[in-house]
Amino acid sequence: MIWQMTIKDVKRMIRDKKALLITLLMPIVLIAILGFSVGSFMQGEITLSPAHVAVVHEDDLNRDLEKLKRVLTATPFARGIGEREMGEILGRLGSFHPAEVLTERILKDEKISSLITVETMGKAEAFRRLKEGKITAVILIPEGFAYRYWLSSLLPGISPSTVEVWQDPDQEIRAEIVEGIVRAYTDTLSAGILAKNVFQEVAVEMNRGDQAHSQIETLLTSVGKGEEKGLEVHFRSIAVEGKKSISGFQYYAAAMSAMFILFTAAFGAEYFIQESRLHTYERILLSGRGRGVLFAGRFLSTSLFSLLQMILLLLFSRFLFGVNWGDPLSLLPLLLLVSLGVGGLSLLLSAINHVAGNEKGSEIFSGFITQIMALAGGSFIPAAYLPDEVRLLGDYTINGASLQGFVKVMQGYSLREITPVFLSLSIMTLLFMAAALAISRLKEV
Amino acid sequence: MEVLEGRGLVKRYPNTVAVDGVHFRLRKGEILGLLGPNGAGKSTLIGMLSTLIPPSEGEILLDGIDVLKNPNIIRNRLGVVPQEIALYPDLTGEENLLFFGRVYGLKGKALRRRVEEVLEIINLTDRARERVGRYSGGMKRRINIGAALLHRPEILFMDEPTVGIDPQSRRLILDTIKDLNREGLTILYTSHYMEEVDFLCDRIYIMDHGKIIADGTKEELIARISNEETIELDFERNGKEFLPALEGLPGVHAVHQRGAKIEIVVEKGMVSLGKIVHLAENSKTSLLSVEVKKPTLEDLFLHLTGRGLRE
Repeated sequence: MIWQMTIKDVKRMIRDKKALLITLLMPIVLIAILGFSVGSFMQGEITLSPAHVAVVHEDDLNRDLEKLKRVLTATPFARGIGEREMGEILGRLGSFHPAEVLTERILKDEKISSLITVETMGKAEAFRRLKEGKITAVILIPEGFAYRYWLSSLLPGISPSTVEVWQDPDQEIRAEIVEGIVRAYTDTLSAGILAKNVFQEVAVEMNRGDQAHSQIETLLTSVGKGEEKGLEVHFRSIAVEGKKSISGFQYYAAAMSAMFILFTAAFGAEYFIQESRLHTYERILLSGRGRGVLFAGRFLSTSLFSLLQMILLLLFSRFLFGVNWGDPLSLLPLLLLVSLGVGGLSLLLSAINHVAGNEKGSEIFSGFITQIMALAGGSFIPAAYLPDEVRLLGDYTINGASLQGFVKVMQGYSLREITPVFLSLSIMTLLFMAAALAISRLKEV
Repeated sequence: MEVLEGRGLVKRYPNTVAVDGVHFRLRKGEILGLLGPNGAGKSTLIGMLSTLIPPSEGEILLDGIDVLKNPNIIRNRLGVVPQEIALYPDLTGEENLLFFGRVYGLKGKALRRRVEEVLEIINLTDRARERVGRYSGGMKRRINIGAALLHRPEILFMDEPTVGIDPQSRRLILDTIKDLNREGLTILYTSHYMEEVDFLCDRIYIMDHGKIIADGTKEELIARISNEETIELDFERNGKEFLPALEGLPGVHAVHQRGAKIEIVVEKGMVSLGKIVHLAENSKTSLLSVEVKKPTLEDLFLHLTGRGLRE
């Protein structure tokens, strides 16, 4: 009988144009709007708490300078340059350490410090804290970084240095801010090295090689002052192992799905109170079926409808916007648990409606509480950018937990890593059901 | 033989007593009418008899077995046609019947067959696949009856099943009820339409303010007022003194003005039409017609309560 109730309820919801509009059309429209506008969102139109960045220095300035001196004196470059001039060149080069400019001057600049806080630490500690989500990114300055920079400033055909930036995909927007600043700096340096190479090549072609060498000092002087910088730096954005970065479309497809399941729960509760209003409730009771059948039918039908709703949103976002929802084997159990949670929430709202004798409970929920839950759960702004108190509240909402689960599946987390979300959703479902049972008994008293 | 009996039934709500000490008997194979104005307590009484509303006092017996202690014994034997349309408007007529058939435990081919039979009984086979929300008032009423017949009940409670429908649909429903009764169904029929109860019922309970104020066959009830007759006066112009003068006539039990007409309940043979015409002349009332009516259940209700059934 419960199954017949379920089929009947799902049939009614599918025929309800208002329900379809709110539970399917609206989220699709919002996924499109938010997905397309997410770029401007990320460009700092909102105030974000600063990104915590760890800098790991694997380079050694003195060792690099010694190495440079050794190499330079052994090359044709040293011919025609006196010992005093060589000392001056090395002195000027040594006074400009490109990594230090980035980490001590640029990243600690007064304006940038509102966006980024920098801390120098060892490699092991930096990566441990990154994995724990305590920092946004690790900037790794590799061994021989300054040496390669100096060499590429003087000689053509030298392979570039690499600054590595490791990011936490859960803090994507802040990580992109770090990436943007580092990239802006390295692009400036790259432009300088390109100018030097062109200058040298043209001079050789015009048989003015000696003259070009004589201008090296001027070039280095300007490098020393930081006015002309030459360095080719490869920027590598590498997510922590096992985690992928997700796009704005992916995030908002998940966020809107997590938000609009709340409306499905409210609709389910409205349908329940409609049983009284339509007097079908009495007709069912007259048959000898208890209220338990009605409640069980409500739970299952809302769960089933929300599962269908999420699958449709998933398919729409996949085919319209190319959203990748991650591994189906992780996604499927998550979808099932989320839909059972929605069924449980709908049961609770149904019990409130039942005891109140009207649908005010579900109306207040869909008109007001859903907005608060959506905000706290990260459906409008990613939870990572919300104050800690709000984020904590969001963790205990069904939409917040669902969104966390969706994002983790998209990022490629393993089933074991998503287990806490599964547990959280299961506990919420049980709590909703227990509360619904307790509330519905109030009417019997 | 009584199939269902209510003894001393009382239903109290915080501010009112909806049913006040009702004794009630439904006999096998009869159509029992429960006649009373809106708010008389008919629906509450039906709610108690069908176990939906727990009585504050009293007992209900089905074939001598206490229904309140064993509510399930009545549920499969009873069909209830509620006053409201208790159907899903967004499902078709057929889907509604299939669903409520399943609620009563019917399955598979037996369910399909029974739904077809019921659709024929209520004459809705052609429109079965339309959504109930698009049905006319009469069609909704018919499918509302059909949903109560699916499990072949022995007893059918019908709570004002013809409210708000056109005369043609009403006639169809009344004929259907007669047919169902002829096939052996015991029916309790509540209405505030005297004509329906008059047409359908073998016995009648008249209810007002939560109490049964009279019961018996139609003939027995009418006999209670056989020493009275009702004179209906239609007039063009009504003089101020006419009504008080009528009330002052010896043998006049009651005077009711209904729109442009006046009804006078008089003791049989005590008031001559000549006296009435004479009074009209004296009070400058110009009469159009004078009619002496046969007593009806409506007259009985008027006699018992001083009010009309639909006031």
